[in-house]
Amino acid sequence: MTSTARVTPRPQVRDWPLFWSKVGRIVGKVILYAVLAFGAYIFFLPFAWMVTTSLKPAAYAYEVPIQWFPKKITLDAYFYGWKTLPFPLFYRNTIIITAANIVGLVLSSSLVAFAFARIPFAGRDAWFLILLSTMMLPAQVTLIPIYLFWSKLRAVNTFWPLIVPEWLTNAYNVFLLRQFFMTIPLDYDDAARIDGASWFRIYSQIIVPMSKPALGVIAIQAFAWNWNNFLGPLIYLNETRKFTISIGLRLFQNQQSSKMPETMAMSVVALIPTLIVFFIAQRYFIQGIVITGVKG
Amino acid sequence: MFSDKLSRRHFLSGVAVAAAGMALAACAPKATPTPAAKPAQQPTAAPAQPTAAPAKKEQVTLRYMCRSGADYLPGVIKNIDEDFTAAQFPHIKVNVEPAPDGWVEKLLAQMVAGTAVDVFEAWGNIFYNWTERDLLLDLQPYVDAKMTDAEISDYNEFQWEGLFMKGKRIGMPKYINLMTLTINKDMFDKYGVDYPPENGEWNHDDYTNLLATLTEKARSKGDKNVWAGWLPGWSWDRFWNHIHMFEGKIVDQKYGKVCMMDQPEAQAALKWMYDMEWTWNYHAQPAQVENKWPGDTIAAGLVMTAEDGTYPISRNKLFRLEKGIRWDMRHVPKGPTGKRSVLGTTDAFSGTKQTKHPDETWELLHFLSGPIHQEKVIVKNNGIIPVLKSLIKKFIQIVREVEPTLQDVRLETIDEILAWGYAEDTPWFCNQVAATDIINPALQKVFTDGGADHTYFIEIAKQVTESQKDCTA
Amino acid sequence: MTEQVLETLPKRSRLTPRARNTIAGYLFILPWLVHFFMLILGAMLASLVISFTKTDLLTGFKWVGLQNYRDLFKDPLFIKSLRVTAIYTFTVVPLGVCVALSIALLLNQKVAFLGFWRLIYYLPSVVSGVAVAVLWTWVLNPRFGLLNVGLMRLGIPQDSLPRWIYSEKWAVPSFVLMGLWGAGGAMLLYLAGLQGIPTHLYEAAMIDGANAWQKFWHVTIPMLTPTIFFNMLMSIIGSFQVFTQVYVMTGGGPNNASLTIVLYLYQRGFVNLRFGYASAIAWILFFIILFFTMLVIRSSSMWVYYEGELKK
Repeated sequence: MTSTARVTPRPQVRDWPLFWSKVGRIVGKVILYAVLAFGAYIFFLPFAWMVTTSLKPAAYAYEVPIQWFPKKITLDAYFYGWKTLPFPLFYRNTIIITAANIVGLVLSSSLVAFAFARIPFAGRDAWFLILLSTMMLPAQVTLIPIYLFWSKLRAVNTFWPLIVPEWLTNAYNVFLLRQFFMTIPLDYDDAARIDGASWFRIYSQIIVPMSKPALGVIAIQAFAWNWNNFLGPLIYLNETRKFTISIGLRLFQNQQSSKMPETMAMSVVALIPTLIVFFIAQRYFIQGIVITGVKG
Repeated sequence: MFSDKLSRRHFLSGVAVAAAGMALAACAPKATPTPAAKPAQQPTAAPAQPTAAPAKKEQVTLRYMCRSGADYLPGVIKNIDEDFTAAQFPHIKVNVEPAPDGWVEKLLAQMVAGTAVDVFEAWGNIFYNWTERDLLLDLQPYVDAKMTDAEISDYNEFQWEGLFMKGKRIGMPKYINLMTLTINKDMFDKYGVDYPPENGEWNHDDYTNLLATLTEKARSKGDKNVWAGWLPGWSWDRFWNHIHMFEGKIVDQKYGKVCMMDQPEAQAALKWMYDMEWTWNYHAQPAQVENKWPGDTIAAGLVMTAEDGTYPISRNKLFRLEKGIRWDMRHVPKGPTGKRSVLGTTDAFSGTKQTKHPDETWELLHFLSGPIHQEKVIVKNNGIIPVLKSLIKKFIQIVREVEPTLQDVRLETIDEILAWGYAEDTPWFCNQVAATDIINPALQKVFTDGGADHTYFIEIAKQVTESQKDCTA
Repeated sequence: MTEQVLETLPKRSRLTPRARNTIAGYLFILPWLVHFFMLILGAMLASLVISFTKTDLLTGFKWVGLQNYRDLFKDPLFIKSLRVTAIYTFTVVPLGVCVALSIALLLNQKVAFLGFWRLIYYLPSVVSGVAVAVLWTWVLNPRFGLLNVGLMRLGIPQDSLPRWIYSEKWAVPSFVLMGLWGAGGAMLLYLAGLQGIPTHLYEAAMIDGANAWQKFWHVTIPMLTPTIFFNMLMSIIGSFQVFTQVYVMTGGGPNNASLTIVLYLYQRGFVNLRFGYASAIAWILFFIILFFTMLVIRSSSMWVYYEGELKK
């Protein structure tokens, strides 16, 4: 990094500035927490409303001004309709699809992104641009042609249209990982190449271990996306026994009323697994990074 | 183990599949069996005379895309299994496929792929587009062959006629949603104001005065966050009946080409609506009530009256049981000349033209719209208004048995609206899409944003008429 | 298995290193190539062909050449949707980058209960689309909503408070605010990017006597530019195609004030069954996004720094 080298050295540190720098650090901390708390307040408030609303009897959900601590609390919205739909089955289906897709997506995206970031192959830049361009056409106009494709393969009402595309990766994840791979210094590859390592070995033994945070991000996002995906399952799955949770939850709302508590309860239910996964995973991948950092 | 060659072959097969994919995409439309037919062509000529039931019946499975929510689904499935398949048509099995919002896109994709469900549920404006393209099973031949006059006359005219569109019968009525005035009696009592008359003998001036009084009393008691009335005028389904009541018209005739919103009668109605909302603010402005649907605003205690569909019956739980709101329903007031009009919806069960089993599809549609399903599912299971006149009194009795607090609600209003016959189907332009493309944003400009007054529609009417110029249907 | 193939390649074959790299490259991107040729290319070409026709996809096609494109540029609603989308995109993209980056920098400090803070900031980005819409309809309520109540407390008189999604003027800014609330997704990427900066760079800077600001400006930012670049591009691509919130909350209203391109495309296609016209809209949008993407990519050599960039 040439830019860092140009920083001018500072004069010798004396005792009294040490005191002031300590005070400065404490003041900094206070400001930091204040800013964090304020931001968190703004980010959290709408979510808090979501939760309180989901706990209210429907008639109280529309009251203004809002009551943060409802006089009557009910878990009705959370249990409403669960008996009428086979939710254990929906969970099973969703877990199958989501688990398969996380594995498939992390695997395929990292392989493809590795090539775009590391291997100087002919036509690479052109293919990369094509890859990016596939994100630029609104899905609304490709929906029906793609449906047709799966329909001709008689794969409608199976999980295949929901799983195969993820195993074949997509532009977003490839691009994301490529960006991360490209921040890893080339020296590692060069050294390994001199030792006679194959591209696959560089991929599996250097790049992947060093990219745990990025792979963690991909996995979390893949989880959140697949767990909440509504349009895909809606279009491709017909029979109730094949449904996913997102469709099941949406069936809680019927066309005759807006059912605010149910809507909110459904979102909270959908959100919880994602948050648990995020909370556990963020620790893991953030630590993973620190270790690599030290090694590097 | 992979070899280089094998991988290359994989690659090639990938290309082959891709080519196949493209070819399929290109061939897509050929998959649909029926060619385009010009709408309104020979309405009486039956395309397929229903065949007499063969002696030995082949086992058939029908797919029914059902929009019922989670709480109603089991009742629907049970009723079809027991009273349709087991009791009447052992050879017809029905697979119910639940479909939440997004079903339109799903059904379209299925139609393009040639794999559409046999039976689905829809309403007015969706029918319009699909009828124009001849995507729906024409039921008229079946009606002619299999239904008696007595049976037909049990349906309400606005629905029965509304579902005969551009020369075809495109669906069998599913349930009825009518507009009434829902009132919060507690608020009337609180401010000491009399309820509107039960017999419906009142007019728009009485209505205006009533809301004025309510507003005045509320403000004088310091209640700022409550409005006397709520009419979502920006909504196509909620605005035109007032123009009809003022003897005005949206369009000169059914499938007509001249927009009449610039005429004095329509202008008077629009001026009244504008004044109610923006000049006097007796009707709430959308921003004041979060633009919530009328029922929600009553539950929230934001409004004292609301012009709303009859689904507050199903909201009794919300109003009365959860919150103790004593509510009631009344006839909307008459217009200046005594004319009255409200929307009555054309919600229906329909068959797709692609179905490979049109006869069986007809039997299912006939059953869903018939007395058994209407009573057991539409009334008892779902608690909404059935389509058969002969069931209305029974409906009132049954919902009151299920929920005794409905004794206090004047459900007889529903019976009267149907008996007096003032419910109407929505107005139809020759090119409805072009017309609503212009009218809906204008409604929002005037009634959501308040960015213009009723005179804005004089210009809009010209644009609408202009947009109908090339319509040939 | 693949490992063996690849490892044997350099030894056995007599190919030049360049050819070997090319073979390896294509083997690695094979999953995506299959995806592209099997699912994407066909659908894209189909929609391109459809854009030159008049069709509902159901009752046949009529070839009209460039008619749809010509009509579009005379269509006031399309022009309006272009303007609405452009205003939205060029507001939400830069603001979004700033907000997400600021949060990520804050959350990269040594703070107590770090996981908790991160969770809260990440949370909004995973609330499902419909719930976000319901939520924000309430937040933006002119009288009782969080936002205006907050503004009122700041002393702004009630009459001059915006009516947000109920007014033509404030509809688009409302969606910008909603977009910013979901900045947690991008924040997550910045966090991962920050974590990926090798500590030795900071140590080196410290040895050189750099202060916090200098470290930030000369180490953190350059090392984050690949992530900024990514987020910016994705944000441009995504914002130009904004749909769900608008569809649920305003349906493009009032008076088309929030009619975005994709919403208009959806109305023409799925509501009016004019798929030829809708496809033409999609392809114009495609080229608009491609143009701005290329602009960012071209400029990237000036500001994006890759530690591991391949020499051409």
